[in-house]
Amino acid sequence: MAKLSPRDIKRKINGIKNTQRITKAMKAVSAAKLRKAQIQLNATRPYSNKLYELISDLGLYADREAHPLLEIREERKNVDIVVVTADRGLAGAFNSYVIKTALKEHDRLKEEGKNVHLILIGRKAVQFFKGKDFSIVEAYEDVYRTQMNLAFTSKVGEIIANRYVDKKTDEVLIINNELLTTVKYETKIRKLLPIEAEVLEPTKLDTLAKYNIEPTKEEVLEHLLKMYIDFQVYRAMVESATAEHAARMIAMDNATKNAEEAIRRWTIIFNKARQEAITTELIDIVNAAEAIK
Amino acid sequence: MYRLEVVTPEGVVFSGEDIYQTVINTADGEIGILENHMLLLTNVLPGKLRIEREGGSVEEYAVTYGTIDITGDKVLVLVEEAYPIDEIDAEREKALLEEATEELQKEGLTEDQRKRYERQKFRAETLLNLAKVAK
Repeated sequence: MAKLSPRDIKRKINGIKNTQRITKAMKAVSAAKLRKAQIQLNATRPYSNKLYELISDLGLYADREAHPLLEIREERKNVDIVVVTADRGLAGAFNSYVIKTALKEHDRLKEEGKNVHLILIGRKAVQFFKGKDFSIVEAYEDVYRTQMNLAFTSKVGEIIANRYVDKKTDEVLIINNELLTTVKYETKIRKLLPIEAEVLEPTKLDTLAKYNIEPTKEEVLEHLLKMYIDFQVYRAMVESATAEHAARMIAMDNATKNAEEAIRRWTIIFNKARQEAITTELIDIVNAAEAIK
Repeated sequence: MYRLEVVTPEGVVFSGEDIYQTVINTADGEIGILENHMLLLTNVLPGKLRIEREGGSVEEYAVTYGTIDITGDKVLVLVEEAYPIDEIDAEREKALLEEATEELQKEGLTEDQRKRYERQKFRAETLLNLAKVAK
């Protein structure tokens, strides 16, 4: 490396300081967004509890043959994977974890001789999977800022439900990041369809038989099952957004610390270079003085 | 007097213990729910949700699609969206209505697409009407 003048080093330090200012600001923004997302996530709990309760009670009242969405198929030739990433990067390995997990799952299923189709939510997933040798059903970009709501997820849910009923898919998985603690998140694979048995476990057997169900059991059931799928996609997005902000907060905190360290190192180099320049100058002066004598 | 809860994915919108009557639009038309109503499970359609407390105070909400679970001492309304009538976003509903009307005129819609846009249209029309009446 060419030797840098003290002025060049100073410029470099200032550059790092500017970067550090940005990472610090991004950390603060992520912290605020994380709080908001956590509130939104907590708000989904009562709904999910109640929805599960209703479905479980109905699920027994009906049975696996009551609705095509409840059907469990022996042979599962086609599998859909819903991949949920963030729209943006700069969050450490947040997106690559999801993509890696999805890729592994994809390859595993392929090896078993299955047809795998992808539904992508989040720009990072779209950027990675699009244009390559994957079968993509639908890809959604730029959705978190304005469309993290049921109106959007019900569109996705409708596609999933229709594909399942039309037997275009026999199993649907959903992959997204979830926050475990404020500093730790994990990529989870959940089965969206067929609906797992524990969801259908009944809670209030005794009163069930007395219920009037209008207009028909099938219609209420269909409605509830669709709400369930829409909600699962919604929940995955909110979980992912929460984990995303936490991940970005951690990544930006690390970047700020790294910048601090770089500033410290370059300041030492700067001091040395400055000292060297002074020494050289002194030698020149002394030499000149000696020469005049 | 019974307990009523209105829950959406975005949180609990209403929760009260002292309800005298609830009026809501269901798949079977508008129903009023008093204490000890028969056990009923049915679909909720977009419309007005009117809650009358024991003391005589009344609250009105706009709700969209969902399900209602009625037992004698507890009523649970599970809907996609619910908010006070004066918080209806008329601009958004107009946009939804326009989109749905436009799409429904197109040919070659699948059965499911048509159903979805009809739902969307009904929801937007209902909410717009509610907003108009409130003013």
